[in-house]
Amino acid sequence: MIKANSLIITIIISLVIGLICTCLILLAWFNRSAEIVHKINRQLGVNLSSGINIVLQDTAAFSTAQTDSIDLFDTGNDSIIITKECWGLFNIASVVAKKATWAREKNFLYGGSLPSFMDACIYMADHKRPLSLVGSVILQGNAYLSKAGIKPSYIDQRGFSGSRLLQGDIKPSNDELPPFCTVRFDYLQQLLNKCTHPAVEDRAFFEIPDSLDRSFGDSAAFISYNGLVDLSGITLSGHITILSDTCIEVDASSNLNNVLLVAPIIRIKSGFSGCLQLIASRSIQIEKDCTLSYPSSLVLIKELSPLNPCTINIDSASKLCGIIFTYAFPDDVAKTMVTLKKGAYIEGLVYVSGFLEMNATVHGTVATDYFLYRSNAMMYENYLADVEISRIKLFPFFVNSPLFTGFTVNRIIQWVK
Amino acid sequence: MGKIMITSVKAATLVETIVALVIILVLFGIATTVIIQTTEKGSSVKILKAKAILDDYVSVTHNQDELFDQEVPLDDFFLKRQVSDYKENIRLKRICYYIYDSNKKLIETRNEIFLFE
Repeated sequence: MIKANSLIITIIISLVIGLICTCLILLAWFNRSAEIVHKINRQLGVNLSSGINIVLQDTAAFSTAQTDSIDLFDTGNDSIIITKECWGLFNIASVVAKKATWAREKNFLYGGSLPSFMDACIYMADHKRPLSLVGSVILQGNAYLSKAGIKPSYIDQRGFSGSRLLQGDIKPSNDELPPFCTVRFDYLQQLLNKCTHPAVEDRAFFEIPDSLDRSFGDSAAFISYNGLVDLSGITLSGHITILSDTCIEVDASSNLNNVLLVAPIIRIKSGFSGCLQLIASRSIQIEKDCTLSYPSSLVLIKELSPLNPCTINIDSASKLCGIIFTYAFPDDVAKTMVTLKKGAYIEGLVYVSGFLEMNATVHGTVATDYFLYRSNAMMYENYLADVEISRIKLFPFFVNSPLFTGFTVNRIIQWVK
Repeated sequence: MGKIMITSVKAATLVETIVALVIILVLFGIATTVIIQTTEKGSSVKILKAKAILDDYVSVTHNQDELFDQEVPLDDFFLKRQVSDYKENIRLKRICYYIYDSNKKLIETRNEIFLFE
């Protein structure tokens, strides 16, 4: 008996073909979805770079956080949100690109391109005195000096033993150090004022956690304490500011990255390694064997009081990659004093409104009112002995602080979380 | 005496045959759609190639010392670039890129804001 069940056979075959077709349709659908996601991601990436470019071209000074929402091409489809704020001597920006329900975010630390005075290894304000060199002094790069110029000299029957006084050109300096942005300076002063007069919401009623990693896309964790703050055995990273009205001590056992410390006195204990920005009004002590990696900075702004000594000390075998900035008001008789011990190494900018006792190696630029050299019980003004200051050896990707005027464009220092 | 063998042949009814035909037609329709879609994917290779060429062109643009409007034929494609100041800021340039196929059909556009130093 021959069964002629054509319907059943047709249904079975159609099920198999249907299954294959469904698979093909699903494949095409997934492929199309992936394509759409890829396209949106690429567009978000392009919008993100466009937003970053908008941030980098804006060199206007600001002291408080700013948020802008921009429709990039006036089509209503490509929007970005830019948030930027001061972060110590540098700026921090957060760019968020949005398209429908999709979003991509990038946070970065940025600063300014190098101002004109940083084409030199030395900028010594013109106080009508020459710069005297003793022993093995290496000065590579141009130098902004007073009209009295540069000359070899003697201390304790020891003369200048280098081959050339200056491996570069001499340019005339002004009677004041290169100017800086007052808006930015106000921000630094406000931070210092917060040490002694913190806002109620900034007061910490809890212990600093053992570990805290705060994204720069989030609001800053502002923690203010009364009395000595001892940071030991902790890990802090990101958008965190710690203030004290007296002193902050950082132990070698702590791990700090991109954190801002603000206090009248700050002490970094021997052996510490990390990336920090320190803002103080009385003194900063960096003990032996410390490494402060780029972009670190030491800021000392002297209160208008001739009684308080105001110093930065960097001990031997310590390294700083970044910026040292000190400022004393013109009316203040007692200026700031920076001591860089022998064996210390600085890469970047040293800007001292006052006296610089310079025994370290500096790859970058040194700007100061006066150099000091100490030999036995004697102090010599505007003497340099057995030091190396080389502008040529400064790494080419060094980005300066927007504090200093005269930069033309912003540059990215570091991508951060 | 010979035996007469009677075999009964079951034939498909008219309804069965019509239903089978309908199912075959529907399947044929679906299969055709899928095949057309799959065949169209062949052209996406061209689109991918166009995007890759556009990526290269954007990279070249970023390294140029001068930015200006440009129209360039490249392989089987035709590239067009339009440069204008972004919101009257001479350092920020709005750059629109267009890539066309050999039939002058627009394949992809891209807009960006570029910091020109």
